[in-house]
Amino acid sequence: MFGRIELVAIGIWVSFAVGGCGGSSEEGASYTPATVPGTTTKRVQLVGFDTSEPLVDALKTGKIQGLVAQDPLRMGELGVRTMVEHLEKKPVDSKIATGETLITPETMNDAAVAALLNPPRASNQSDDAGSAQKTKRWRVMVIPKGTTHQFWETIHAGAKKAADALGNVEVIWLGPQKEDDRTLQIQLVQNAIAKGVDGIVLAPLDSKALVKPVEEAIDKGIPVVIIDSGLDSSRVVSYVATDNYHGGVLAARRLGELLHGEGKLILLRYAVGSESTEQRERGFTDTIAKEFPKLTYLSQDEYAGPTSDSAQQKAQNLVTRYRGQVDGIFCPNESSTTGMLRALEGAGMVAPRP
Amino acid sequence: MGTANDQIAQRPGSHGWRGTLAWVWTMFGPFLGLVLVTGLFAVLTRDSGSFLTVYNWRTIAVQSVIVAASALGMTVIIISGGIDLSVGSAAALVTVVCALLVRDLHLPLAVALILGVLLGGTAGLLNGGLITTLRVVPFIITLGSLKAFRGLAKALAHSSSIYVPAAAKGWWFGRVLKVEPDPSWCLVAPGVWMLLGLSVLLAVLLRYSVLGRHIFAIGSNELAARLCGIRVARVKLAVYGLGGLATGLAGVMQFIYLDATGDPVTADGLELQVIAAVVIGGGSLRGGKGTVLGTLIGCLIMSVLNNGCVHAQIPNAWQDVIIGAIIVGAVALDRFRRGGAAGGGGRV
Repeated sequence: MFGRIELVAIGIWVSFAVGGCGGSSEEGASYTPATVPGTTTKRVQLVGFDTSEPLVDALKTGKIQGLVAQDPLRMGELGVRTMVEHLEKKPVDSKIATGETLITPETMNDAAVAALLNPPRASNQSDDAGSAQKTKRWRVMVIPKGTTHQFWETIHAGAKKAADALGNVEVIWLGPQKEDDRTLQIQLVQNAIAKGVDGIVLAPLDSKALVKPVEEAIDKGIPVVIIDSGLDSSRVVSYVATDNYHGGVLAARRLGELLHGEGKLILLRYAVGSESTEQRERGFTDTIAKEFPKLTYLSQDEYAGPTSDSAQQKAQNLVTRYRGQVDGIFCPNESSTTGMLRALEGAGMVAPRP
Repeated sequence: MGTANDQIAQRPGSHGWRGTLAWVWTMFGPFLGLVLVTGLFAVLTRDSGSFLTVYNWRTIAVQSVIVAASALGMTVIIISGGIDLSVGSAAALVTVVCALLVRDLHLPLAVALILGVLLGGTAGLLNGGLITTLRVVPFIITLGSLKAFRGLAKALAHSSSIYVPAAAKGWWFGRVLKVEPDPSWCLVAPGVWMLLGLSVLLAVLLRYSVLGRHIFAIGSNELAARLCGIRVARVKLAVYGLGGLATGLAGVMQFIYLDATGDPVTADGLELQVIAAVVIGGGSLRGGKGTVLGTLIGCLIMSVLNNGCVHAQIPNAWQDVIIGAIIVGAVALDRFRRGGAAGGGGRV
């Protein structure tokens, strides 16, 4: 009994002491005893890449200040269309840009932007799988980097849109489940060759490791169109992608303007060997160095890893470490942005706009 | 634990038709599984006709090499009653070190590959040394080295992929795992032949050498083996060293498969595929049981599944479900065959 009374007494004393301290300090008016010092710092400005439902919601509520949107629907569609045009012996461009747009809370209600924000998605289940028989004139295998991101579901929808519009092409959609499984992706390309498809549309996980299987396919007379992320080979039909470097530039300018050119940044990179995100990161760092020299990095060599789960863990560690110091954050893809957003929400560092 | 009846049934004296059947099953059980799986996919893909082609089976053979190389070592370890969870991480470490040796130290690629295999052996010896000196179960020791090797790989690679300059790759490099072998009289890729050769060597070693018999003895009953005068610690060290060499080879094959990329995050989960292959092939996690041929067939079954699902256009989520079912089914059948005597033959 005695011990408990003592505890209560200490509790009262502590709250009194804290209250007294707050009152006597010069900033006493803004100090609330309920919060730990350091959490009441300025809001962190987060600029991310790609769109998904949680990210768009966060943009709406002002937790994210900018998203660079790609146009995956167009990318999937153009990937398949380019392949079919090549198969039908029509000339195609060796590089096709699909466009990128910076979306801010202010611009998100524009009609063109709204279409980008709510793209159609095809689920992995809804495929007309099972028909191992060739039913259409052309059979094209589309191999994404992974199948779990919404981005790829929209690519899938785009590929289907092209297939529906063209009518003479069957799209087979198969990808590695994890976005860092180079081995599995190489196997998929090899299996596509063995299956004898007419063409392969590939988003390579690695700009170098996938060269050999792709060139094997080309040697076997199967043309390859690269989408989303580059491949170090000059023998592919075409490269259909966002101008990722420019996407990074857009993100850097947005963050620079938000911070009025001054402050401390975190760049949470995505994964090594992924050409598209490395381009974005380069576009970002180049622009910051050139146009906003007063912005410095607290951290720029951490990698989010392949899933939003791994990204969240990494982001939580970064956020805990640089709490109160960081002003702006850039994440170069959907999973890293999602992970970072969750970490910031968990830490109470992004309050919804009042 | 088996009942009295089972023990009688298994006793050499009570051979008869049941004994013969058991022998046939042991030899051809996994093989039957392979035939069944192949038949299933042949039916599913009968319209396209692309599954049962020479080219496709060459592809399957090449895709089996990495798992099979590592599974050879795991077979020995599992026969000895141990386990090695670190094979995936060790393989990734090998790819990174091979790439670094060529890129930064400018060693010839062939030398780097040999050093890569030896590095795997060293990693295995480290595991074995820790297991025998600390007397901690292999599961825990290798769980630790799973994390440590992966971390080491990432640290050495600065969490980045390491690419070897194209000029450093010899003319032979791309051919080791080329689906269509060059020259064509090879029939399958040279890497596959290398693996088959090593498999024969290992099978002979296990069956006819003193070390091989000691490994079985330890796996069947470690205490009894010790009492018989077998130097258990020394044999275990050899087992993990051998396993490590196999993992080193798997790492080297992975490095070749990725076209000379040192990838610190590669082969994630390899250990589970490898253990599954050994178990499907008739190995028992209780030790004392397992064959090289069974393991190779186990690897093939998994590769055929991977490949067949693409041909039949089965989403890869279902592929995992099917592999899971096959692992459980294979072991359950094995148990059923032994009439209730659990995988390890009813020992405690």
